[in-house]
Amino acid sequence: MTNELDKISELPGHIMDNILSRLPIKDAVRTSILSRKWRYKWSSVPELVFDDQCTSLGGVPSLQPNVQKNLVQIIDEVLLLHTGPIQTFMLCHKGFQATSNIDHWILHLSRVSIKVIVLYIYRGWNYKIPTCLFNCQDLIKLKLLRSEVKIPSTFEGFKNLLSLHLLLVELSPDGLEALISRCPLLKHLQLWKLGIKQIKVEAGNLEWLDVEGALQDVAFGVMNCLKSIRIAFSDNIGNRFGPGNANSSNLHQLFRNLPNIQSLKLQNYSLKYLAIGNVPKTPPNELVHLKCLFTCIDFNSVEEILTAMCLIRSSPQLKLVDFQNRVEDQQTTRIGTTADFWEDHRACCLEKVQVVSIGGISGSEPELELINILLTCSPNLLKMTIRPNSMSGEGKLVRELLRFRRASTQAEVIFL
Amino acid sequence: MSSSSSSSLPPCPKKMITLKSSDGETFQIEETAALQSKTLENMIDENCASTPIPLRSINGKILAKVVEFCNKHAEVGVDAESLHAWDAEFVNVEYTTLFDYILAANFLEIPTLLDLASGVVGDMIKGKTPDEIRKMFNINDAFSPEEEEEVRRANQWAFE
Repeated sequence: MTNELDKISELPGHIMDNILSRLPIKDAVRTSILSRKWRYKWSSVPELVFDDQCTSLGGVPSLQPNVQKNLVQIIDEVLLLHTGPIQTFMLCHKGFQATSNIDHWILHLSRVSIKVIVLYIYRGWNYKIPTCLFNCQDLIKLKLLRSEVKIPSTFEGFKNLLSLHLLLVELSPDGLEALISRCPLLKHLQLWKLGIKQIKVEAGNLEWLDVEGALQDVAFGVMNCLKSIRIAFSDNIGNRFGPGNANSSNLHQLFRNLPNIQSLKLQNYSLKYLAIGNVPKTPPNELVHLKCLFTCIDFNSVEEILTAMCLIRSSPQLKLVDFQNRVEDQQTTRIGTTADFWEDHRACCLEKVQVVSIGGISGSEPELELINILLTCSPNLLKMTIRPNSMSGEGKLVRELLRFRRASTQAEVIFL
Repeated sequence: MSSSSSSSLPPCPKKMITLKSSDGETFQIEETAALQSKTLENMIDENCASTPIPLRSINGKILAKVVEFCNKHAEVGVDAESLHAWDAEFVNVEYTTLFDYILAANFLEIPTLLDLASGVVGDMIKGKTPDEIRKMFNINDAFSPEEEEEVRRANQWAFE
């Protein structure tokens, strides 16, 4: 055994960096004690992740009051001892509180061609991100949680940035627009509870977009690459018109510039927003690539049902449909009595639809009508999952379901 | 990029290239599988792959496994889950063999294999005491107690 070579210590530096990058930083630093050859091996790891494990004692996260002090000291020491380029700096420790040391760290990172910065400030609000962050020209990914961002007038843009995530970040609408417009390669964008009520996004290369917050309006410029989008209007909105032409619908406004959408998630009150305006009855044929549709819906709202049906009928490639009832307390039905409301939709054919999921329903007439249409119009349906809410009279719901004709001989209807 | 070289390939018949290990064994590998190696890709691009390619730092036993890995990863229609299981089995070997894989993957520039094997080594180190790691990998030029004290002091937090 003693004659065996110490192969690991002789591995080339970049391989060692690769291996040590996979360890929690504490484990990586601890390898300094293995042998003389190992003393400084850790100091060139390109990825520095400071999370709860940094201050954990024997694997148990420490909840001592001096965690913050320790953490700041740890980051200072690691950055001081580190040599070579740093690709990733990630600070996501749940005990971390905003401190002016952040400025020093970011200044340091801006000098070492940092590519990824993830900064979560869990405690303390409105930490002003230092302007030197905007000098990090090599950034590929930037993720900020809880801070305040002001775009400096000299900001030339992040020319390489692919991924931008702003969560609970305070910045002005103009600042947001300036930031996005100066990141020409941006592919992923997440805007989460920014406190901006009207969000406008235009980024030619964007592929993935996630917008959530107390929104009142969203507007999208031409984005031909956008494939996946999630919108969550977290607060209820009034039935008012959007900023555009009152004759046009929000639905039309929103999607006319997004020709290649494949996945669409409309959460909370987003469908209500889309339903504002003049919902086109005939499909606008704008969602020719849409494969997955998830939407929260109020089955009491004629407009929302119309909008949902319009979305479905505008999407010839649609494979997966998921409805979640937004309203807990189902009112008496207002629209079921108008039989011809549904008649128009019965004629459509949802050629590609394979999987349907409907949740939180109580068995009201609009809900059953929608299920009926989806069963009648989807000749290739494989699976329909129905998750009723606790208030529903299950027996009645099942009886109704059994009655519906199914266009697909393969369809399996699962009642949870 | 690799797309330029693969698009210039004729669809059929299968082009084979020959690799020669440090101990003189030869291995045939389909060009499409060999393209996972940046090093081999460059040689193919520069038309240096028509004669057997000598790989002086890789012995026959390891080269056989590397060829097997490239073939598996070039297979069409393998689902991610079963490939994952296959990979896990592939690196379920003595740690010395793992280092041979790493060095071969490094020389041939096969990032998938390099990452896979490095990940296993990382997992082996994770959560272990210095003594356990030394023993596991036969690391011997340990510090004297005084030196060790100094190293500990320099990175106190990591040893708490």
